[in-house]
Amino acid sequence: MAKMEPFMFMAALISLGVSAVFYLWYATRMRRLARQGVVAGGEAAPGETLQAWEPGRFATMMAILGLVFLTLSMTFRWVATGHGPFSNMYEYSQAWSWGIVAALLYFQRRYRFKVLGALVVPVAVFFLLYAYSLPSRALPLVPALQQSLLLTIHVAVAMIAYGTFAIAFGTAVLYLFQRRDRVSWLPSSGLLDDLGYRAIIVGFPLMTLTIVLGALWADIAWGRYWGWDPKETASLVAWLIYGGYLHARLVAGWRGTRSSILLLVGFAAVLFTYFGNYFLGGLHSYA
Amino acid sequence: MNAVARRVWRFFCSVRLALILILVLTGLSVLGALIMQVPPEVKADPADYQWWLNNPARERFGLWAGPLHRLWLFDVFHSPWFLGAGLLLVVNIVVCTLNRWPSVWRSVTQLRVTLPPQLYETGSNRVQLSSPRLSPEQVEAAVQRVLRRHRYRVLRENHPEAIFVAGDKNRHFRLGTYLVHLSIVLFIAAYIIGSTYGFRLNALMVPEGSVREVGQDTGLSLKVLSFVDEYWPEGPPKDYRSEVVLYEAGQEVRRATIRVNHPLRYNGIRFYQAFYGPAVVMEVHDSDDRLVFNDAVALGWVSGKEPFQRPLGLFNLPGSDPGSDTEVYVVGPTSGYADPLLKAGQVRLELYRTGSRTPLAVKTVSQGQPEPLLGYTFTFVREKQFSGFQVSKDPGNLLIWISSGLFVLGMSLVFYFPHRQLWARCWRGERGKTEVVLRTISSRSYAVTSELEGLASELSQALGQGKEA
Repeated sequence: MAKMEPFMFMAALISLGVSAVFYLWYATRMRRLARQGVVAGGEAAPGETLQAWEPGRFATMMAILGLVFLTLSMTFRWVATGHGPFSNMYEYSQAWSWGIVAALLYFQRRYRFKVLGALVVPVAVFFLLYAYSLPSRALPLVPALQQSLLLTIHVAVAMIAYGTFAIAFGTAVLYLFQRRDRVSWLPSSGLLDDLGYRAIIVGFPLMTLTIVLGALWADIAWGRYWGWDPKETASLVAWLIYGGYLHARLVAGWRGTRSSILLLVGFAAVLFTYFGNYFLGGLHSYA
Repeated sequence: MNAVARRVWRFFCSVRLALILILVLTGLSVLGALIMQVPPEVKADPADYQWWLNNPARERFGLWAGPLHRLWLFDVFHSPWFLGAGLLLVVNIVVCTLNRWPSVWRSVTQLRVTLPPQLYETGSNRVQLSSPRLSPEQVEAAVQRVLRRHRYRVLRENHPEAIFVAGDKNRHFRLGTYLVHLSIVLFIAAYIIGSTYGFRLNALMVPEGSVREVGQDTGLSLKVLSFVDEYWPEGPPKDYRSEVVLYEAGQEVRRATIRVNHPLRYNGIRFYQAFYGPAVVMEVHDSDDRLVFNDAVALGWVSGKEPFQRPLGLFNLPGSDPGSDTEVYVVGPTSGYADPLLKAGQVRLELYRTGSRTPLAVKTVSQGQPEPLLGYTFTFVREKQFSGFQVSKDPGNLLIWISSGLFVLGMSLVFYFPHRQLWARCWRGERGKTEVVLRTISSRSYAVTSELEGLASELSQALGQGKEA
């Protein structure tokens, strides 16, 4: 089965690549139809027969297919190595891609608008290409990582959290285009703002859980729950930014542009955390 | 005075302050992640810290090392800036939550059934429906059914001009924010308890076959029976483990295997497998041929620069009177390179008077060959390994996990069970039609608006007709 893994990976890469192209095609077609006054409000287009829906539906199908292939690829790897496929940058990148596509499909279904895919699926493809550029060979685990349960949950939860942060990033970008509600083919600014918030209230508790599980693991493996390891610190920074976003929104009533900018900053912090082990060193530098 | 106190209070309960503090902590954390930080055990000893500043820090940062040190940037997370901002944030959190308590408690415990009249007539979060057939009582019953279906608690009041209904749900879960903020305070308390009443040794090095005291008033000592390091065929380490015996006041209390991820716990003190290295067994006889030293010496430090970093250890030979101890440094050959100075099976001995930096004597000795030096006879008996442990005691540990759990729980309650309130008024309007208005008062929230729309459309189906704005 280990031999199937690279094929599944390539199949996922191709499916998501095609999906990204179709999402982009869908977005441009929505835009053209909106100019002609056929659709408005992004999600509110009537008739499924409209031509714009075809690339959209195909894009979603390819995204689902990509998710299935990614799941298979990760499962094969899991079976072959005997531990969750979450132990080096190749595996993290694949898992993040999975998290992004899964979160996209979930929110797309709940909020019934697809333009988001045009922004977010390319990010997932980017991470798969990035994984492709890395050595894919699974090295055996160093002793500290040999904690199968914690390794699996700590990283899996992190990647789902990161996936939802990518969604929040995408909605924040769309929001900034839509902040005066002038773009007729995008959903209303209110919906975008709310979707960003929904993504964060899924992602933030998961990120908290990631940090708590990481602390628990550090306590078992290294004898301390917190040590200001650069990766720990960087994830704390991202966590604080999203915590700030939630407070600004829930307590101070920040909406729209200001909170969207916080989401962009938060995602930058997430990327910094993710790639941090290349230039920060510390105990998380496994890649 | 009162005005000043109020101003201070208002200053501390502003969310803007919280955001600024988070920004400051974020900025400092980024610096802490980017700038090399001094290890805590080095910082603890002023002489070591001075050495650290003059060597690794100077090499990396040159002339900037001095200013960086003065700004605490080599120890960001213990700097006055970081601790000060953290403390302010805690005060801010406490004041903010206390300040919001009365209004939150009111909204949890009291639900007014009627709103000011104009709120039923204007505003954005408002839907009006009407029914030509049903009476106000029947419409009210329909409103109640719809609300109950969505798990709302329903209150009603009958007024001469109309029937008023109010519903809410998840009101107690609003208190989740208090759980969250309480857990942050508990977390910090646990951290302080841990660092005040706990301890942490980063390097307890015990050679195979030797016993070392833990110290820290624990009365514990640890013996390593054997140490094993295994590697995967590809090269990376697979397993480190030590077979150990733990003694308390000289009595054996525990026998265990310590490996990475599997610490030994005893009375709140935990022993972690951390590292390992070479050790040498030394025998020393004095001029009267009495055995004065017979133990393994862990070569747990390094001396020299790459590529000739040599493992280094030391032991003490007590002198006849206080202050005349001799420190013996044992240097082993570089591993992996052909060392021009030391061959395999050789060690170099450097003898110092305690506190002095000039060696009294230096000699390279080969395994199994006794060498006279400074009136002693040194024998390098054989090589072994030592096992390095981290030892820690953290009485705040349990509280850390409790507060983390409370945090996640409180947050989930707030996010996934949002507090909702809704008001309705039913009355007989023009031409005998029954009118009903549904109203929420949360501002600019898409989620609240869509919930209102959802409830309104269910109600309109129940009333058997389309809605009228």
